[in-house]
Amino acid sequence: MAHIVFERVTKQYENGFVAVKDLNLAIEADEFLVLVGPSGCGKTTCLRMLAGLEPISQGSIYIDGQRINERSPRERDIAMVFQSYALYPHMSVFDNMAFSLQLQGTPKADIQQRVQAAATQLGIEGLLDRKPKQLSGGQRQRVAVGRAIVRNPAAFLMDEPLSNLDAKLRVQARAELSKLHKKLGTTFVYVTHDQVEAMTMGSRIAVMNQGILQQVDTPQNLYNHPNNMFVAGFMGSPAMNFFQASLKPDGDQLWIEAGALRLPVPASVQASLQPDLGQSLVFGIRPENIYDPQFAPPGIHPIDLEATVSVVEMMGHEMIVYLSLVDGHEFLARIDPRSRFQPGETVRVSFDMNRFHLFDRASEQALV
Amino acid sequence: MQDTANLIRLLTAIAAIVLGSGGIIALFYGANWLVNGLPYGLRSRVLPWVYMTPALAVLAAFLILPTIRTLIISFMDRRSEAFVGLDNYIFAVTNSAMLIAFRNNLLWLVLVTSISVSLGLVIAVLVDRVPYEPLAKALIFLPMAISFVGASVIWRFVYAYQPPGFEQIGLLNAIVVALGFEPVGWLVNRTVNNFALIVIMIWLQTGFAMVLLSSAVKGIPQDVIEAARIDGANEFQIFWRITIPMINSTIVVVSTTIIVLVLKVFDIVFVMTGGNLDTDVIASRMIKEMFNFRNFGRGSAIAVILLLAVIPVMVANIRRFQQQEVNR
Repeated sequence: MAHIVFERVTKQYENGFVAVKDLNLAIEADEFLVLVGPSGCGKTTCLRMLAGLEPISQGSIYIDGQRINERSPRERDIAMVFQSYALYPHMSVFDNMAFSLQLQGTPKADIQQRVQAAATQLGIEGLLDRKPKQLSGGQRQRVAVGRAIVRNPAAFLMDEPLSNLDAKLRVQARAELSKLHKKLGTTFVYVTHDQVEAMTMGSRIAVMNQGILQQVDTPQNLYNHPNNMFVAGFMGSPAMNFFQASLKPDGDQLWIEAGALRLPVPASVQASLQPDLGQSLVFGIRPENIYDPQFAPPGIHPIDLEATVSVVEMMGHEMIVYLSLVDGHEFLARIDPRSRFQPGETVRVSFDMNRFHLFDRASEQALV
Repeated sequence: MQDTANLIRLLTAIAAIVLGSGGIIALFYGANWLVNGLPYGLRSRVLPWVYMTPALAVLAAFLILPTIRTLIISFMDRRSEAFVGLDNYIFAVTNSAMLIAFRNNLLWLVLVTSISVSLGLVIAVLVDRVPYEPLAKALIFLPMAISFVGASVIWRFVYAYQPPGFEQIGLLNAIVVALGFEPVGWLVNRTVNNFALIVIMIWLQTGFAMVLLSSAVKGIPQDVIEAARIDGANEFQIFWRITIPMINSTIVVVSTTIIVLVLKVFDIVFVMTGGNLDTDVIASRMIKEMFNFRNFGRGSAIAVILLLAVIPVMVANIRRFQQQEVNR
């Protein structure tokens, strides 16, 4: 268990590229923190700085209150699982897992017992004599995890450990890692570009973009209350729909006007939006908050409007519909699979006005 | 008059090239045309042999036949007139000059191979981390581009000796004298002359070892090294427990290649000392028996011994190389 703190951490490479900028982040001792963001956003660099594989340009990293900037990886008591697994190809699975213990000078019997225990836990006890080359991708991934857990480290660092697995295995491995975290109760810092992994596994998620931390919160809060347009657009698939918009008063009612869209603002948030009257805004709504009126559930605040269907993707459990407004603006809806929408048709869809987002167009920050 | 002679010579050369390569092309075309007349199933089986036959014929004529002939001569007397049984071989393994040559060759084998490979390996690993890697590697590789004879000429200057009191033009003796010692006759002093020669070969071969090992070192994924670092290995442990085992097959290939080269070493000894003062090796002994003493029987017997010594190393080398290709 380790309490990890990034304090004003910046990473600038020799060529001047700033990979991580002024990062402040505190990771609780038993937390599963997921660092997520598009490729090149600096998330892996953060992990490598924490591991000691990359020097820190500015700021400090603390583990349990100790500044570790100058410590070598071996002095940090952390284990890491690499995207490529980075198994030692010339060693058997047993030796791969035992390597760190051998270096520490752990007694042989102890090593034997700990490797055996970790192997049993991961279901790889039958593979201990094999070489990495003789293993499947899923088995290699387990060995890589096993190599980390035999050490009983203060923190586990994982750099996209599931991205080389096929889709089915990935779902399974996701659940197994979550279980492992619960069982070990240790700090996990997990890097991924896959927002599904982030949502399903993280106790908290830190979203990064272009070296800057955008938001840290629980999956639920991040999804429902994104701080800015980047987080709103990054979390969720298909991504949130955005419309250039502005607020117009009409008598007592505030309206969101976005090209061909004209949507009444629910009474509950009208007051708080008064200062933004006349500003350039962005209106956002997630595809799942748009319905085929025929199958709209109760309890939403539906506003119907007309749109033309261009493409229909039938997924079985849902339907992804590509729609366009009269003014040509395109957006996506995730609707009930029983819907009869056909490409080329002009249909009525319902926007749930309880679940919309407004952002300032210039700063991209969320309002409300 | 001179011009016409040159012109004729030039034309002859061009004709030779055209006829030579044209002849080969015509040969392959003709063979191909003939094979195409065969039924399809037979064709694919016959075709490889048709293409290989000329090469095999050339190999047989210039490599295999002379080898067999050498083998026969090695059982005959000095003028190849009468069979003498194993006499030449008995000579080769009992004669005192031969024994010195064997001892020297063993010394060459052990020292050149071990020092070149380990130096090459250390340099390969170190060079991986310096900013001017290509320059550093080029400098160390440079001796490879020099012929053995050329290298020997260079080192004759390094080892040059003048009696005490005279100005030393040799680099080594200049240093020795500057430090206040007596100059050393590097090539005549029997305790050091063999080592002085061996150093030249090491100088030549370290670059070769370094280049091959360096590419193998670069082939080790960075992730694996980093994983070891996180597992708690220091640089020394990474070198011994990760780097060396992972490039093991390249180390063996480089070692065996150098072993074969050292078994055949001749030029350096011939140019530097002529094999005098106990510096003979097997190959220089062979040349002496063959061409200085005109004893074809003994010369051939030594050649056969040399060939037999090289064969197992070659086999091991080829096996390892195939294994390495499979592992890619």
